[in-house]
Amino acid sequence: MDPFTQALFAFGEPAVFITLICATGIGLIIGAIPGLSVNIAVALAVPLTIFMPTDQSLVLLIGLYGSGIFGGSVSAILLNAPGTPASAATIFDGYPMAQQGLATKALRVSLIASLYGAVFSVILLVLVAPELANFALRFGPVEIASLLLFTFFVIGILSGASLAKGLLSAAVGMVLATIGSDPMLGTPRFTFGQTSLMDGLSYVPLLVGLFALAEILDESTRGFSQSIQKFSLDSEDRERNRISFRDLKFISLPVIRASAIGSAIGILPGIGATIASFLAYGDAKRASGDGSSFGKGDVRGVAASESANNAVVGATFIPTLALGIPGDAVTAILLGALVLQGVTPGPLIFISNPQVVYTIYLSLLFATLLMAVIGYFAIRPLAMTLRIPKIYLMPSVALICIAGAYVARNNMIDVWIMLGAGVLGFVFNRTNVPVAPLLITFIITKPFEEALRQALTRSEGSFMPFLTNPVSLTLTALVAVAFALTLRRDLKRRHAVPNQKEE
Amino acid sequence: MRADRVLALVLLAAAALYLGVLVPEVGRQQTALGTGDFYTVGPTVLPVFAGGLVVIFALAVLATTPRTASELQFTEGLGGAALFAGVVTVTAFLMPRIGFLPVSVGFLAVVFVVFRAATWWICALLTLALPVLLDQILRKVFLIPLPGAALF
Repeated sequence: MDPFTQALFAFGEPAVFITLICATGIGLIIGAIPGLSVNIAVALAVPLTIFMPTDQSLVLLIGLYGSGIFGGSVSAILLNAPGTPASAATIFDGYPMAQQGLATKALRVSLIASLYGAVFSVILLVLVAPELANFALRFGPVEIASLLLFTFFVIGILSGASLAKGLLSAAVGMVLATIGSDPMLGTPRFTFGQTSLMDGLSYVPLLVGLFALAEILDESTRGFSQSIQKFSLDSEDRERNRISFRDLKFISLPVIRASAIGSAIGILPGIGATIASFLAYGDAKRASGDGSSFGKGDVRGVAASESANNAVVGATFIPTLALGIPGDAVTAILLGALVLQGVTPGPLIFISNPQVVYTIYLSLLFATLLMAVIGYFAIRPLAMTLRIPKIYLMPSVALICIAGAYVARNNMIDVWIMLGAGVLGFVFNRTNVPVAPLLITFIITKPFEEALRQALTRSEGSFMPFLTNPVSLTLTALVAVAFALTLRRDLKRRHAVPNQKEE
Repeated sequence: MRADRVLALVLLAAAALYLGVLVPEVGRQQTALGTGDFYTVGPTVLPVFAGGLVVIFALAVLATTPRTASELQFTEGLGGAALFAGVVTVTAFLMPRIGFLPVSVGFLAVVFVVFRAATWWICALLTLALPVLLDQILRKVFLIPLPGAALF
């Protein structure tokens, strides 16, 4: 049986199919609840995937990721609070629409746009990833080391509001990745005699702490809200909330443009869905000519934001699968989960594990279609989940974090790592230092060190191969351009603040 | 002083300790193990590179952030976070000693009391049911035993 048919048949297995339905449903719910992001959902699911077959674990994680981003739009539209940061731009027009009695229409537009964006990016993934992998197969240690160092700088430069903070986060991730045995010689590094640290800091507790516990600690600073959010969909006029052919025509161009923007952003490592949705929203406003209706309940605003953030989902898998470089925090988590399953992402995956690649394609596609079905028929029950007070939700999630960190290796040291990572993530969040570069760099440091040392061993310690290689030089030039542009932006912003104060 | 500047200073100090004390120790271990002659680059190359990057970017944060306090105070609501982190710490400390079930029941009960959850029956239901549910799912479905429950 060929790999595609094998992957397709796997979805016929009851365990895989039920996992897909559950993951999509849970992803929608978690995405909808403000404070519980897609990152948390995927991070908490990783410990469970260790004990699952590869196809089932991929279906679980991708189902959560695919549907979670759309889930975020539910609270953005109904409560004026995005369930995930990626839906922040949806608020601008989604909430005004809800105030005008058009919440159901906004949610349906959001669903259609999400569906289009997600399918668009999956098609792009299927077309581009194998070609990119084919090109990357020619890479030797010099090119691989250069590419991974390029990723380090790009995610550091582009992921945060501040150039220095993004790079600092990435550098901390690299330091944390040096704990454990040296990959070439096996020399223990910073293990302090602990056998459990010989394999390095465990990835599961690190990500559970950085994303889930850090968010819970942040909620605890507000004393865990006890209030029940109030909104009602019962009084809406059904006729006004129906999506007409004219509406579809109206949103078609912004959706196509936003899907292209989202996919382009998704391919670049470290930027993510939040920036994509803001860029697409700005683009839709500019392209409309008269942008005065934007911000007052224009369906094009909702459509652009939602198609862009969902288009990021499939596109982030392009560098993840083809190069082994995670496109964002969630694909970094997925990349780690694949490694736990014994599958190494990178160009060779298309040759050594084609079934895994097809499972990822199909999981993305089926999760998107299922999200559309569940999202269309279950908008009202989904909206009900927003009423759960955080005082009951967050301590329960914290308990799952503790259990999840422990089960990764049946070792208490992982619970302590999770706690440390949670505090670090909390401090980073409060000081506006992005967390995603830390995790992504933590994951790419080991292959970077292997490639770097292989290259230097071959050249007997000389850096000349790096200085003469066309791939290295091109990537260095790209980093220099990105660095210069971001530095210029940062300096402009610094000058703007004193000017505003003077005014 | 702004919290991001304090963070940069802490990371700078940590990087100095890492580069000044911990990395040379790895170099000494490598020499003691007698490895590294064949390889032109040893196990300290990446740690030195990574530690150096932390120093550079921590200094960059110090140089680029203003000295004045930010609009959102870092300390705002910090007591709640410290309290919650403290409860998690005690839970992690007691878990291998008295088992997952009693410690998680205690964890939820303490959090609900400390953060003053309003509806007692929801608290009671969650406190008693969630730990058992988690334990049973992990034990029966995924065959992972959580630390033994000495009191149950």
